Amino acid sequence: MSAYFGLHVGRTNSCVSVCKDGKSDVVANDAGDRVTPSIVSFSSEEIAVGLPAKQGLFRNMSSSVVKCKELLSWNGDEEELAKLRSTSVCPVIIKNKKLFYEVEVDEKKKQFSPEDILVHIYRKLYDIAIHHSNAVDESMKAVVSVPLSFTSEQRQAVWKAAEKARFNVLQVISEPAASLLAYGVGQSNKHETLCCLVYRCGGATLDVSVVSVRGGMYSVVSSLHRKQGGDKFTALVANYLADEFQNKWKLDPRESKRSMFKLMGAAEECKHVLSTLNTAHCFVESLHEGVDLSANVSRARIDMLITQLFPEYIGPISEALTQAGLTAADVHKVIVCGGTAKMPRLQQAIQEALPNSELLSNLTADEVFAVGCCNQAAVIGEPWDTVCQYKQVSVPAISKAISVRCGDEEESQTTTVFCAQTPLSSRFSLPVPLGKKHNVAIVDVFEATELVAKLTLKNLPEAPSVAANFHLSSDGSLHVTLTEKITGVTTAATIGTSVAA
Amino acid sequence: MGEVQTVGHSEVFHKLSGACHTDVEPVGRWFRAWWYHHQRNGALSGEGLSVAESGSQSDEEVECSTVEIEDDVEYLRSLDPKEWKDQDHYAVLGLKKVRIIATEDDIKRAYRQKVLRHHPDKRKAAGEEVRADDDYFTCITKAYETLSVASKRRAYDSVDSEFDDDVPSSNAANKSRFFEVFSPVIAANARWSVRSNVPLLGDVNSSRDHVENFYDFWYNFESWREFSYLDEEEKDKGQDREERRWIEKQNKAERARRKKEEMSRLRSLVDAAYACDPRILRFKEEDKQKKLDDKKAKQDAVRARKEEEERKRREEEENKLRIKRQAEEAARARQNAAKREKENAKRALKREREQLHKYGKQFNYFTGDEAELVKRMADLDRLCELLTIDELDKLNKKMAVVSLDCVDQGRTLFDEAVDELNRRIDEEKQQHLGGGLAPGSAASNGGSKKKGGSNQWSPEELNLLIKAVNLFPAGTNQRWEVVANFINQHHGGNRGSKEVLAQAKELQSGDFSRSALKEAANKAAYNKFEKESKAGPAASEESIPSERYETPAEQLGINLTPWTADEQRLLEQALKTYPASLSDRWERIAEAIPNRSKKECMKRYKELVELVRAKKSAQAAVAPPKK
Repeated sequence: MSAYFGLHVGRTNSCVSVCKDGKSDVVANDAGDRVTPSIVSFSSEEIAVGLPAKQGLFRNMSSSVVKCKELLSWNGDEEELAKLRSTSVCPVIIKNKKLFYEVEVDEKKKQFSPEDILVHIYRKLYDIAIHHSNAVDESMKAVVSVPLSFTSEQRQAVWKAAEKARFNVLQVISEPAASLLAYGVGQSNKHETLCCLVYRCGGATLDVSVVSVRGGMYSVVSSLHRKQGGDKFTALVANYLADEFQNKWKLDPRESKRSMFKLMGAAEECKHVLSTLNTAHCFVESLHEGVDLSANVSRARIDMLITQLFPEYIGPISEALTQAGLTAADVHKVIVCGGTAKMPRLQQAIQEALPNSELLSNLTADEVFAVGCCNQAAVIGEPWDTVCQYKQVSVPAISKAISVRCGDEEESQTTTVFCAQTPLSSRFSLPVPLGKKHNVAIVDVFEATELVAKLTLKNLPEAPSVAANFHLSSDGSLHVTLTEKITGVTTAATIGTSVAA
Repeated sequence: MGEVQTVGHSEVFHKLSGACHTDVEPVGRWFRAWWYHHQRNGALSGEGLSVAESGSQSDEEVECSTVEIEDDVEYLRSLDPKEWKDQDHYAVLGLKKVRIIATEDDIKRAYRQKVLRHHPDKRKAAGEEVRADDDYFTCITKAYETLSVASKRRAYDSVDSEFDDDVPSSNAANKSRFFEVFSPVIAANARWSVRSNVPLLGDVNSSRDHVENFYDFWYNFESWREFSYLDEEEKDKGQDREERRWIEKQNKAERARRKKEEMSRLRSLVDAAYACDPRILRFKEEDKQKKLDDKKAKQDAVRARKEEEERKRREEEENKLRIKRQAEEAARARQNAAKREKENAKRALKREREQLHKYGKQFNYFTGDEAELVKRMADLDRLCELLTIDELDKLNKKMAVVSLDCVDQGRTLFDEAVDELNRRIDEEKQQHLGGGLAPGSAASNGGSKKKGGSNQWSPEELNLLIKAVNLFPAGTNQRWEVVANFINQHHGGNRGSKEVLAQAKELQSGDFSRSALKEAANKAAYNKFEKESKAGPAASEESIPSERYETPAEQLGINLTPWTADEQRLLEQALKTYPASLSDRWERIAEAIPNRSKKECMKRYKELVELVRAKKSAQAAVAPPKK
C-alpha cells in the first residue's frame, strides 16, 4: 500500500501527515517536532527552513520571510498591504501588481515571490516526508489544504509550488473540509445530518466556519475570518514575563527589541507547554543586559491572563452562526484546530459557548488539517481536478425535507428520512413499526408538511417485520418500497419530480 | 402463510417539488462516489446504460466503480498451478478487460468474489471433485498475490502480454495518416510514465506549446517499466549465497538489457512520431518563413535607410546646386546689369558726344575761319574725350538752350567749356609736376628747400653729375667727394660732396617729374615737335595727356636708341587706330612707325604700360593725403 501525505502550510507553522494502511499519523520533523515553523531565511550559504530559520530570526531579520501565506492570500487591497508590510520582517514590494519579498542575501537584494517561499517550505515538508517513508521511489502523493477563501488561481499556485517541491499533488482542498475529514465526520455513516463548527485559531488569524454535513457531503454555510491569532496571547504572556523580570531585576527587557524577540520566543514555547502541562519553566539565557530569565509559569496564571481576551475570540462563533441562520443549540460538533486552539482554557470556553455540541479535540489542534488532507489523499488516490476549477461542486439535492409517518394515527411520530438539501442519489431504510392493528402497516410520505404518498400493507402475517426502503435516485425522484420480509410481499411507489429530470 | 393473502397498496398524491443544487466541498468518499457515478452517467447515458439499472444496485456498488468481474470457469480449469508465472493474472481474477486500469479495490473485490466462488471447500460442498495438490485455486491466489502488491503488479504490468510493443515506422503511409497511426500508440505507451498527466499527441490544431511540451515530455520520458517478472530464475532458489549472488547478477544484467531495449523502443517511437509529425513540419516551415521574413524585413529596413540617406544626399546636392546656380545667375545678372549700365553709360556718353558734335557742326564749330576750325574741332574732340558724361550733359543742355542764331552765345559756352577743360588739365599737370615741389615748398623740409632753392642745378651740372656718377661707380674711395670735384672742375661751381649726394639721390629716386632736367627736356622736345609737325592737321600737344610726354625722357638712359617724341606720337596714333581686336595689330603699328620693328613697338608699349601703371599706383598712394 502506498503512503498518502497531507500537507498543511499555515502562517506560523506547517505540518505534514501520512496515511498508510488506513492509519493516519503526523510525521515528525528532523528536530522531533510535529509541526515545523513556516519561516524561510536566506543566507549566503544556505536556505534555512523551519526551526533553524526561526532560531536565527532575530539575527537576520532582513533575510527571513515569515507568514508568506498572508501575502499569498493578498487580494490587491491597499489597506491590507500596509498591514502585511507591518507584519513582515523583510520588506515587501510590489512589482507588476504582484507582491515580492525583498530579501537581503550577501548584501544583495533578491526578490522572492510568496510562491517561491512556499516552494521552500513544501520542499522542507518533502524532506520530512521522504525521511519518514524511507522510500525514494514512492510517488509522494499528497493533498494540500488552503484557506477557504483562496481563489482558483491561488489554489493553482499552491498546487504548482507543491509540485515543484516534487510532491505528486492529488488535490487542493479547503481547510474546513480537511478538518472534517480528519475526524471523518459523516464518512462512516452517510445518513448523518450534522452541523459542524470549525474553529480555527492559528498564530495570526482566526477562522470560524459552519459546515453542514448531509449525505456524507460537506457544504460550508458560513465562514468568518479575523486577523487575530495566538500572537496576542503570546504577547500577553511575554508581557507578564517581562513584568516578572522587571520586578526581580529592575531591568526592563521591553527596552530592547532583541530582548523582546527572545522573550516572545520563550513565551510562545511556554504557552505551548502549558497546553499540555500544568506548569512550564521558562528560561532565557541573557535576556537583558546579561541577566537570565528563569520563571515558572503555571497554567492557572496563563489562563487568568488570557481570559480577558476571550470575548474577542468567542464572539465570532455566534457571529458565524447568525450568519448561517443558526443558533448555538443547532451545532452538533465543534472541531478545534490551529495552534492557538490547543489551549485547554480556550477549548473550554468554546465548549461553553456551544453547550449542545460535542467538542472534537482528540487530534492535536495544529495537526488537524494535515491529517484531514492525508485522509482525503487516501480516499481519492489519484489526481483530481488538476486545474483547481472546482472550489466547490454544485450537486443536485432535494429542496425540501422528506419525512415519513408510520402508523395510521395522526399523533404518531414523523421521522425525517432526507433533510432538505440532501444530495441526490441516496438511500435510506427504516423498520416500520406497526400500528394498533397488528396486521396493517401504513407509511405516509411527506415532503415538508405535504402528504405526497401513502403506502399500505394489509393482512400481514403474525409477527411481521416490515421495512421501508427509500431510494432517492439521481434524477430526483423518490422510490419507496414497503416490504414484509417473511412473505416478501412488497408494495412500491415512485414519486416523480414536477421538474422534468 | 396466513389465511388471508398479504396485500400491498400504494398511492401517490403529489409529485416532489423538484431538485435544487447545493454547493459542497469536493472531499470525502461520498463526494468521490457521487462524482464518479455522475461522471459515468454523464458519459454513458448516450450509450444506453440505464440509470435506473445502476441506481438499483446497492449503495456500495454505486460508490465503487462497476467494473464487471468475469467468471471464466473454463479458463480457470485449464490453468496449471505450476505454470502460474505464465498465466494471465488479470484473466484469472476476471479482470481481463480492465487490466492495468483496475484499481486496487477492483482487484480486491474480484479476488473476494473468486474466493467465494472457487474455494475448494465451497466446490467440495457443491459436490465437485477437487484435486488437493494442484487445484486451480492456487492460481487465483497467485494472481492476487501478484496483483495486490504494488511492486509485483508493476512488474507484471510491465511485461503484460496484451501490450503491443510495436512502434510505427516513419514512412510515407504513416506520415499521411499520422494522427490515426500514432495517437493510439502514444496513448497506450503513456501508461509507462512515472509522471502523471502525460501529454497526448493531440490533433492537427494543437497549439505549438502543446506540441513542444509533448515532445519535450516524451523525449525525457521516464518509464516505470521494469522486467523483473521475466527473471530466468528465482533468486531465492539459489542453494547458497554464492549462487544467489550469481543469479542476481544474471537477472540484473538481463533486466538492464531489456530496460535499455525498452528505452530505445520508446525513443524510436518518439523519433518516428517527430519525423512524421505534420505539425513539426509546419512549425519548422513557419520558423523558416519567419526567419526569412525577419531577414527580409531587416534587409528592407537597411535598404530603406540607405535609400533615405541617398535621397537626403541627393536633395542636399540639389539644394547646393540650386543655390550655386542661383548665386551664379545672380552674379550673371549683376554682371549683365553692370554691363548694361556700362553700355548705357557708354551709349549715353556717345550720345552726348554726338550731341556735342552735332552742336559743334550746327554752329559750324563757332567759327568761320578754316584754321580756327581745326583747332575748334580738336577742342571739341578733346571735350568729348575728356569731359564726364554729366559735364557733357550739362554742356549739351546749355547748348540746346542756345538758339541757332546766337552763335556767339554758343561759342562763349564752348570756349568756357574748353577753357574750363584746359584749366583743369593744367591744374592736373601742375599737380603732377608740383607733386614733388609742393611738399618741398609747402612742407617744413627747410634744409633741402634752402639748399635746393639756393643752389639750383643747371642742366649742365646735372649732365656732369650723371656722367660723374657713371664714371665713378659705387665703391670708389670717397666717391661723392670725387664726383663733386669732377663737377666743380668741369662746370666751375662750388658743389659740396653732400649736395652732390643729395642731388644724385634725387635723380635716382626716379621721380623725374620733380627734376628740373625733365622740365628742360620737355621743353626741348616740345619745341622740336612744334618745329617738325607744323603741318599736322588735328594733332595738338594738349590733346594728349601731359603724362605721355614724360615717357621719352624717362627712357633716355635705358634704350640705346631712344624713342623720339615723333615716334612716340606715331605709336600712340597707331595704338589708337588699330584696336586690340585686330590679329595683326602690331605689324600694322610697326608699319605706321618708320625705323621701328614690331618687336620694338611691343616692347615700347609694354614699357609704357608699366610706366603708366606704376605712375597710377604712385598717384593712388599719394592721393589720399592730398585730398
